[in-house]
Amino acid sequence: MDYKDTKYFKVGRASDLFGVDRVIYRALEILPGFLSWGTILTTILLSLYAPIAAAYFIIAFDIYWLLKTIYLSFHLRHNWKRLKHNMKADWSLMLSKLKYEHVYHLVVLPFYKESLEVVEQSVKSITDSEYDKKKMAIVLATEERAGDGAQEISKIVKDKYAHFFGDFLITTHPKDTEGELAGKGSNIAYATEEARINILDKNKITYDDVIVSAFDIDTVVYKQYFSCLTWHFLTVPDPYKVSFQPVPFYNNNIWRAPALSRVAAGSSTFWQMMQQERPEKLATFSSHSVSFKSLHEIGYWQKNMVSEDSRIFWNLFLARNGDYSVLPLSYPVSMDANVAPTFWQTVKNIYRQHRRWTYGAENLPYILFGFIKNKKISLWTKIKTSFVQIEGFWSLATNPIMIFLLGWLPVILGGYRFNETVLSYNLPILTRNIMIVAMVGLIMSSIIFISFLPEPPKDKNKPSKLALILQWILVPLTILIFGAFPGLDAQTRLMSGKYMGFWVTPKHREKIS
Amino acid sequence: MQPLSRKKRVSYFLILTVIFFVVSPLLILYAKGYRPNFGEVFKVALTGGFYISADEAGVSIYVNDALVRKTNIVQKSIFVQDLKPGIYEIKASKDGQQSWVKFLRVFPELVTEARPFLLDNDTSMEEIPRFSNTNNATTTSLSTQIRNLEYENVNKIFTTVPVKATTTATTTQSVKSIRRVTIDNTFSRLRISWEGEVDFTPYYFCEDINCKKEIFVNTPSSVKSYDFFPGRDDLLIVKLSDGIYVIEIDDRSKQNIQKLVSGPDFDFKVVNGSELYLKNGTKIYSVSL
Repeated sequence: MDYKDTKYFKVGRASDLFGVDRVIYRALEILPGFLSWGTILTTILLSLYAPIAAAYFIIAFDIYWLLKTIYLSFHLRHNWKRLKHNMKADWSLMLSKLKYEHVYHLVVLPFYKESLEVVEQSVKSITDSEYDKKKMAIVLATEERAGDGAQEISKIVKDKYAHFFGDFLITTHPKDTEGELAGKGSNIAYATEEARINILDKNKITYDDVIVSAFDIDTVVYKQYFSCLTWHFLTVPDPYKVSFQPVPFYNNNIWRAPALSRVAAGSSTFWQMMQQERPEKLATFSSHSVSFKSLHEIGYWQKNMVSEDSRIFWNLFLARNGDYSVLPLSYPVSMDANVAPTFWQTVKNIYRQHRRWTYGAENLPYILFGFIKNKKISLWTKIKTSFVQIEGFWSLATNPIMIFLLGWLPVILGGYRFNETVLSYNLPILTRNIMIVAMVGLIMSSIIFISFLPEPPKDKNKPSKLALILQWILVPLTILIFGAFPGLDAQTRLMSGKYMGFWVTPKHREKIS
Repeated sequence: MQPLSRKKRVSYFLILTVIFFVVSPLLILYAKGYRPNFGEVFKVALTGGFYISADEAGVSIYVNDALVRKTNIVQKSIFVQDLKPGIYEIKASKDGQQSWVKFLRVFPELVTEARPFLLDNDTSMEEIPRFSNTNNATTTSLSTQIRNLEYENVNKIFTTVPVKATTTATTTQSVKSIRRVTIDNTFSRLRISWEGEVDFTPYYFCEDINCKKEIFVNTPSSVKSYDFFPGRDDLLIVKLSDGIYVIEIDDRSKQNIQKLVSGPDFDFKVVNGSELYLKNGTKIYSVSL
C-alpha cells in the first residue's frame, strides 16, 4: 500500500491517532520544544554550575554563528544575482521556443475578510501579466464564515475581471465542517476540488497539463511570473516531482510600513532567498505553485492543521517516498508587509504572523513519524532530512537567544571564582566583537533590500538611503522578537499540546485619495 | 543563470568547517589568557591581567610606568591583559589629585582587581553657617540672626555618643559594618573582617584564588575614630593625631593613605553612608566628594 493511502498520511496532530502511534507522535510533537528549551536551560545551568564549560561553549557557538552567517551570505549574494538576472530575462520569449499552449493555470486565491482593494490588486496583477489569460482560470475561494461582505467583493471582482480569463470561479467553503480546522488549507482544498469539477472536467482539461498556483490573497505577481513558471514546468526533468517556489517580496505596501516591519519583511525575504540556493532545505512557503496532477493524487492540502503551505510539500515528499523536491524559481511575487493602524498593533501582528509561520514546527512530528512508517524511503534520505529539519527549527528558536541574551550569562551566574578569570573578562568582549563583525554583513543586506524596492507612491516621501541602511541595526531586535520568541512560543504550544489555530494576518490598506 | 553550484557550496562548507575547528580552540585559549611566546618558537605562555576601576574620568593608569589609558566618561574602568605572571606597579594619577600606587601580582589566567582612590590635593569643603540672616521687611528694617537648622542637625550628630560604643583613653571602638565587611578596633589596630559567604568575598581579601577572612590596617599613629569612607566598602576614613585621612583596606601591598585635611582638632562624621561632614571647634563643613 502506498503511504498516501495509509491512515497516517493526513494526520494533523497526535490526537488523530491511537495507541502506540499516538504516543510516538506526541513525543515527536514535544521534540522541537524539548530541544530548544533544553539548549537554553542547559546553557543557564552550565553558566551556574560550570561557567568555564559554558564560556567555552558560548565562544564556540559565537564562532559557529558568525561562520554560518558568512556561509548564508554567499547564498544570499548568489541568489541576489540570480533574481536580478531572472527579473531581466524575457521568459515569454524563452517560452515561445517551447510547445506550451497545452499548459493551463489554475490560480487559487483564498480570502477571508480582506478588502476589495487587496483582492482587486492581486487579480489585476494577474490580468496584467504577460501570459495568455485564456489559458488561465481564477478561483476566488471565499469562506462562508466571512459573511456577505466577502461574497459581494468576489462578485464585484468577477464582474470586472472575469472576461479576461479562460474561466473565473467563486467558491464558498462551508463553515464548521467536521474534521476541518478553519483556515487556508481547508479552503483551498475545497476550492481546488470545486475547480476540478467545474472547470477542468467541464472543459476536459487534462490534469497533467494544469499548474495550480495557491496564492495568499495579497499576492501580486510580476509580469512574467506565469511565463517563468511555465518555462520551468516544461523544462524540469519531471514536473510532477517538484513544487515551484517564488521568492516572496513584501513590497505592496513597503513604503507605508514602519522600519521595524520593513526589517522583519526584508529578513523574511532574505531567508527565502538563501533557501532558494539550498533547495534541499526548502519546503514550499506562502504563495507557491504545484502540478494539479500531484495535488489531485494526494487529495490536495491538508484540512486539519495550520501550516498547509509547507505541509503540502511534506505530503508529496512522503507520498513519493522521498523523491520529491522544491524547484526554486528565483523569481519574485510581492505581498503585503505587516501594517496596522497603530505601531503597536503592527508589532503584535508581525509577532502573530511569525508565530504562525514558525508553527511550521508541527511538520516535524509529521515528517519524523512518516519516516518511521514509510519503509520505502532510504535511510540516508531520512537521516539527512531529519537533521536538516530539526536543526532548522532548533536554530530558529535558540540561536538569537544564545547570541544576544545568553552570551553574558556565565559572567552573571558564574560566581566570584569564575569572575576573577581572564576568560570571564574576555567572554563579553569576544561575544560583542563577533557580533559586530557579523553585523558588517548587514551592509550587504541593506544594499540588496534597496535594490528591490519599488518606487514610492506619490503621497509618500521616500526615506533617505541612509535611513534605509540604518534600519538594519534593528536586526538583533527583530530576530529576537520576531524570530526566536515566536518560534519558542509556537514550539512550546506544540510541546504542551495547546495547539494553535489559523490566524489570518490582517491586510490593512490606507485609503488613497 | 544556474543556482549556486553544489561544488561551490561544499567548498564553502568545508573551508568554514575547517576555520571553525581551527579558530574555536585558538579563541578559547586566547580568551583564557594563553598568548604566543615569540621568544621561544612553538611555545605559548599563560598570561593574566588587571581590572582597574577608577570611578572617574580623566585618570591616567600606568602599569610599570607605561601609560595604559586615560579613563573617560564612558569607560571609567580599564582591563589590561596579556601580562606575564609577576608583580607590577600600578599607578593612577590625575592633575590636582593625590596619586595612588600599588604593587600587585598578576596570576596566570586570572584578573587582579584594583580600585584606586584619588583625593583632591585641596579638599573642597563648604562651611555650614551657624546662623542664617533674615530680613524682617514687613515691620522693621532690622536684621535678626536665627539658628541655622542644618547646622543644628549636623552638630547633633557630632555630639551624639554611639549607643554600642565602648571607649578607651585614645580610641573609639564601635563596631561598624557595611555589606558584611566589619571594622573593629579590638586589638588596638583596625581589623577588617569579611562575614559574608566565601563566594562573595570582596576582591581585596583575595590573592590568586585564596581569600582571607581579615585584614589589619596599619596607620602611622593611633586611630581616634574611624568609619567607612562614603560610598566605598574598601576605604576607611580615620582620625589620626594630626588630621583626617583616608586609607585603603587592601593590603596586597602597602596600604595607600591620603590626607583629607590637616589639623589635630578636626573631627568627622559620615551620614547615611554617603555624606561627609568635618568639624573644627564650632565650625562645621560639608565635604564635596
